[in-house]
Amino acid sequence: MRYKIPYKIVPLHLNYVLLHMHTDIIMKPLRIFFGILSGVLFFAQAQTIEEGEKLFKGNCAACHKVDVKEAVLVGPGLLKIRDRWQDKQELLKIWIKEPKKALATGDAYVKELWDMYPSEMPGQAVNDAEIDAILMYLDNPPVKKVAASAVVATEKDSDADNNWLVMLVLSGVLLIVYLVARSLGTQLEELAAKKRGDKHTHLSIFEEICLFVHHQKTWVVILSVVLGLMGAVRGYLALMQIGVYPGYHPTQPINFPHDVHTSKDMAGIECVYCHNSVEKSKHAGIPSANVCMNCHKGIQEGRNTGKSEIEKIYKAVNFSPKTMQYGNPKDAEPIVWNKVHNLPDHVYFNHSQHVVVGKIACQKCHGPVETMQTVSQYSPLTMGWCIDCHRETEVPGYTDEKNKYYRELHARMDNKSLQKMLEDDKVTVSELGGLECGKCHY
Amino acid sequence: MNMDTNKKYWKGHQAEHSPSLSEFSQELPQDVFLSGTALEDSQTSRRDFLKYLGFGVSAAALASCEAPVVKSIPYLNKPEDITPGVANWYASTYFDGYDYASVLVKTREGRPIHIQPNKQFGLGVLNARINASVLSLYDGERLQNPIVAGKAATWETLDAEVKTALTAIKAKGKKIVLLTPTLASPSSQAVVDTFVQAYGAEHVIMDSVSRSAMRKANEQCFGKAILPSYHFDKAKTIVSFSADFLNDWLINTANTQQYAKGRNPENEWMSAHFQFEANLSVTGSNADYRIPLKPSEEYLAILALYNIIAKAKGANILAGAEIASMESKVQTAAQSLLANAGKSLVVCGHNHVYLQVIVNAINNLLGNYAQTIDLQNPIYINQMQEDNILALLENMKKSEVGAVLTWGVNPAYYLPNADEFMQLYKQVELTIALSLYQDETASQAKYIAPIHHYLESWSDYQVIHGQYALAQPTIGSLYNTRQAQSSLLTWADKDADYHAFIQEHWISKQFKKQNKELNPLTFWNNSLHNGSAILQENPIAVSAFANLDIQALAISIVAEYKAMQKQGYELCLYRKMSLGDGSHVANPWLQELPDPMTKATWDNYITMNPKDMEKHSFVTYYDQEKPLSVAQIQIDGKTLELPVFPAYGQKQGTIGVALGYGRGANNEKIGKAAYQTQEYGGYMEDASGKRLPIGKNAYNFVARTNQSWTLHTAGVQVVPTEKTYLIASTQTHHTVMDRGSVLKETTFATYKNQDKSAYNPANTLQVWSEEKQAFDEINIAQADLWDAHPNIGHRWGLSIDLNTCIGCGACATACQSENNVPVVGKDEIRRVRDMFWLRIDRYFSSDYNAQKAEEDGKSGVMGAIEKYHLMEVPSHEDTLSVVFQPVMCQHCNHAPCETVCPVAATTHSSEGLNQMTYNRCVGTRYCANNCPYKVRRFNWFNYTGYKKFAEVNPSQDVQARMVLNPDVAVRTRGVMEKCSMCVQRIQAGKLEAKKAGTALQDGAIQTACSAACPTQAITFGDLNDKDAQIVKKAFGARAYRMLEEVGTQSNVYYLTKVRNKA
Repeated sequence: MRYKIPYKIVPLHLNYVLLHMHTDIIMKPLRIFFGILSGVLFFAQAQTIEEGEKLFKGNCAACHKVDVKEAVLVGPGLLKIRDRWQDKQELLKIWIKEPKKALATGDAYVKELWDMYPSEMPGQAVNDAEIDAILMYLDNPPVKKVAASAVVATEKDSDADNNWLVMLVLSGVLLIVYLVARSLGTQLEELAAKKRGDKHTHLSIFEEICLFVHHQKTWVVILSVVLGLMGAVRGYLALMQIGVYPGYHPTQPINFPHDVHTSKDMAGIECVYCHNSVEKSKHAGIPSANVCMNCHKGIQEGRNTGKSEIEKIYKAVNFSPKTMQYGNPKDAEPIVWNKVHNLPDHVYFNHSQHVVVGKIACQKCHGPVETMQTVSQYSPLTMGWCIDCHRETEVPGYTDEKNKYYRELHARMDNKSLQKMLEDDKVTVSELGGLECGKCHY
Repeated sequence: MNMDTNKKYWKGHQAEHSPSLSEFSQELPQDVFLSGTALEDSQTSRRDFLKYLGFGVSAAALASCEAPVVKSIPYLNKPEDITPGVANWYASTYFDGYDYASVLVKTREGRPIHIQPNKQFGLGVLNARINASVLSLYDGERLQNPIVAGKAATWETLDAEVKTALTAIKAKGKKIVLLTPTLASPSSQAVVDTFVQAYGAEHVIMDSVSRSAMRKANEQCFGKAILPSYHFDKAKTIVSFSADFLNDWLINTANTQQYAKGRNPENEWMSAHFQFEANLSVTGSNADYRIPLKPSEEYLAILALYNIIAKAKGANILAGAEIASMESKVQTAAQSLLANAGKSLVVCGHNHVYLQVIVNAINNLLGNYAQTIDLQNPIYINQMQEDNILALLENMKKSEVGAVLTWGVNPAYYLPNADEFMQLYKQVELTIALSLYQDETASQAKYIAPIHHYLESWSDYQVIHGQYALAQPTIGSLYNTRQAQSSLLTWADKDADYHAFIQEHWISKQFKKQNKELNPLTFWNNSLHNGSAILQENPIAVSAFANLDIQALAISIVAEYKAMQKQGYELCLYRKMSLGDGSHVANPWLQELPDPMTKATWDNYITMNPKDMEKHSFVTYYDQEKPLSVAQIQIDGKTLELPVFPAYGQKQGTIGVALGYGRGANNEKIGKAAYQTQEYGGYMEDASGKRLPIGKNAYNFVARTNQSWTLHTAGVQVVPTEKTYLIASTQTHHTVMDRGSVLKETTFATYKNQDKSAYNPANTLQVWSEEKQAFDEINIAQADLWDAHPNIGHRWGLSIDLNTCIGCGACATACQSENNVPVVGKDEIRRVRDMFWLRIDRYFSSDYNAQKAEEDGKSGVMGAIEKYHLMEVPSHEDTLSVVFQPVMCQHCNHAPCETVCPVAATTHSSEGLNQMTYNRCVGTRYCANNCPYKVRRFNWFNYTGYKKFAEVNPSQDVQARMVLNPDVAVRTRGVMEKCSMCVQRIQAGKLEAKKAGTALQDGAIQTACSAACPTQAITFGDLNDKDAQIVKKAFGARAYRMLEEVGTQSNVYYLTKVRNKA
């Protein structure tokens, strides 16, 4: 996918020049005008970097890192690449678009690059404006924060497990203490009885319990009611968990490390690069093996498992890493993955709706995949979970003046509905009908 | 382990003391299940057993809650244009010698799942048969391998043997004959020519039903044996003699489209349609004036019509007393024709050369040629000539024929003299069938070369002069089949790549006929993308109307009329909207589609006027338990036994039988759904263990006269039998019984000249006014128990124009295909458990109303019963008129079903939809009880799994399951379902708009029914979008809501039916 750059790129120092102009009365309005203009331009530049990042991830990230030249993925790291090409900026553009054409110019640096890396740089279908955006991004890649909420949540869960263990051990100890004390008491009693010469008739545990219950009727009733209620509640909650599998973590045919591929300090590939139907379809899509081969034709050894896992891809597509040739496609074998996130058949869920219209990050439902090795189910995927989100989440397009769909909707709305909707100053999914059965069940 | 508790229980004294007292009439076979010592030795008591059983069951139940592991297999190398979850649409063309249409094929992940008309390019008009054709692609009973001498073989073996055999026969000097249906395909014709040239073969065209008389008549009148293009849209008066042009006659899809254009009452004029016929056809039911006549009477009527027109135009009049007697019947039609001379059309469905010449003469007198009939741009359908078939038979008799190749034809089934043909066929040295199924003909062939389904095939067509169309594969071949053209090319020792052949042919032959595209390959690609191309063809030159001796023809016709006045009935054979000529017999969607007139499904029957039935004491009332009488029809030693169906509108003295039934009489492998099934599954079989076909084959009743083969015969005897037969019909009532708010009907003059109150009066309610101390009449819409729904954007609605609805059922099959509506089979239909989300109600007119009853003194309790009984009977055949009303969920704003659901499984959406949530439904069926429109359907069975439906429900078939729409849930047993107004399409359409950030365009979303309607009678849209098409219709003068007085405030609007009659 390619993006159009809506603004023309103008060098930043224009702003600087404007600041040092004479403060003439005539010049003042002009300065204000140019000030606003440069503000717009600066905004445009920030946008351009953002566009550049998207373009980079869509086109380049498969083979290049945003790192120093020595950080080789398939090709070299591209951080501040403009500095390396210095006065040959035009040649760089030609190199990106048509590498062979650049090679034909006979430039020494191009020749050096060509020989240095085994994989041929393919020509990229980008225009000059897009290349500018990418280069601008590479000059100054913004640093982003990584969400950490998920990690906290998992820690909390393990805390709860520990509490249960402590309780169990404690009750075990208490039970032992009680049994020891009781047997001591019985023995003492027997001893005393022997001393007295009585024929001892000590009570069995069962009889003792019956006697206790007989004496403590009120307390026993209260206790049983409380215990019964607790049991019912726990039972109900347990039943509600049937078919709910947060944490479901099936073994996969290939031990695919999401962290290595997506984490910023490793390959840093955008989710959408591989799961590319997420913006178009209801399915995010498991990437086809040819997408893997875009990079793994070059990268034949992984950092965790060496060659063993990557070779499974080669086997699947019938590719020989030695000869770098594909064999007969008839001998290729599809990879049978185990689906992690399963929704029941009677639910219609559309990824593109949530990602494109809802502008929701993948991590919101799938968790910090960039920290997971093989993926496990992060969210409960229950209807309650869906509904909660629909209740709280604002519809991002609704306030967007450019979104004609929602403008039209807004214009048609009757006053009463509108007032009710805007009581809390936000328009949530549920207020636009997102809780209705027929939105997901048909 | 000792599980014995050693406890004894008191058994009750009866058990000990009176052993004779027993609850069971028979001794329980205790010794059977207590035999062996294992149980006696066991220490496990009954209570223990139950304990462990209980534990086991609950443990198993809990264990089964564990989610099954779901596998997911992505593409290894994803095709660039396939995105899982997103449909791809391909333009293609359907043509089978009978139906012709430009289609869009919806494919999901490479599977074709739905057919929609290609309205943008080509002839985008579908009927039920074309809609349902996608299902036949997945028929597992299709031929899956080449067959040599009854055994599966490889293509190499077959090709080698066929080539050797053909060469040998050629060397012997014997004839090689290639039988095909009407191809109308330039490249296929080129392939045939190649083959014919290679082997000196002969090409004979064979259709199931002949229209050769029209070609012959045109040859006599204009010097060319052609079929002209008819323009029903330009005709202000249409007179049809037994031409069922909306279903059966020439290119029915084109006729339908044009007919609907001329029937719009919003225009300045609306066509007046006169239909003379015996059987009540789809076309006849839409006519303004339907005049029931026997076929023999039609002969005279045509002559009488000629006379009136000729008199007015100053031409010679035909003599004959009989002719004059019929003039009163055609007078009104003739006046209308004369008033619209040059803008009228007379058509005739009889395959009778003289009649067709007379009809040509009438059209000529009226000046209709070059106006409504275009001879210069003919059509290429129905090319069969009986003479060629008869000549072939002669040659076969003389043993001159050494090889017969049948490609897509089935003479063993539909040739009127099939027995004679097959006897000779079996003696032919080499017989090769290029066929989809091992059908009646193919099963007798020595070699079978299985062919592709049309969705797997390439093809090009020129069915209408200058209008070219392309068909392309939308899926790779499912089985080991081969395109028929490739087979012929292989055998002719040419390159078998038909794709290359057709592309080359298209570029070399068609490229020069246009000047829009400059690059041949772009031209090919664009044509393929559009599915059709309109090219410059030279008009066909015809001579002026020949001066024929009409009088001589008239004398001959009158003589024929006299000869037909025999004892007995006149039989009229017809083809049904559903099964057509019988090639769709394996398609359960079509088998279950109710006949537009009789509403009967899964069956063939004799249609007879109830008055005639009374003469024979046949049963005229039928329902789910009351069977119909079975009768035998006889003529010339041929007999046929079928149930007799009370058909209102059938001309007295005539009977009708549908062709296309009785396929697979010898148990050929022609599809699972082609045979009768038993109540609990399995096929019905005769004494010899052969499966019983559905209905009977009536093709041998086609009359073979010297000139041509006709579909009607006189002198047919109807002999009652003792047998009875249960019929499955979806509608057993006939009239609206004087209820005003179901149907509204008016005349064109009233609609144009009078106020809305004259033809569409508002429903009012009398309300007591305290101020006035009197009753006030208020509009029903103002009286409401409920608050209005909040408006937050959309309100979806449908408008259905009763005027343009022709009752064809295309919407019903489209709905079935889109929404995974289950097929339930005859037995369940009979029990009124059909699952159609969209049904088409057919109402006959009745003159009897409450007012008349009052006059007759039919009031009071007892009188009322008689009154209602009389209301149920449709009017006399001469004044009988028909209205079709498609009924789906009305999506009431104040829905009665919603208020009674105990679990809120059916709720209202903010967009005006009545939602049905299957996973919430517990199946109380309160909603269905409370629905005034009776559109809710209950899943009585697990249709996709229960053995009863194994033969009829395609979802039980591994392959046919692939046709299911993945965006719609397949409902399970015990839940209610109904029309969702294609909510999946609404959601998808909205999503596209949201993603693009554009306003939702009117027409961007279409429901399956609105997209499929060949006459655009159904309009879907947003009632809140003031510029939308639907707003003009639904809030227009003709619009009303069905049963508005109930107060449901439905979102489906009907537009009053308008008839162009006095």
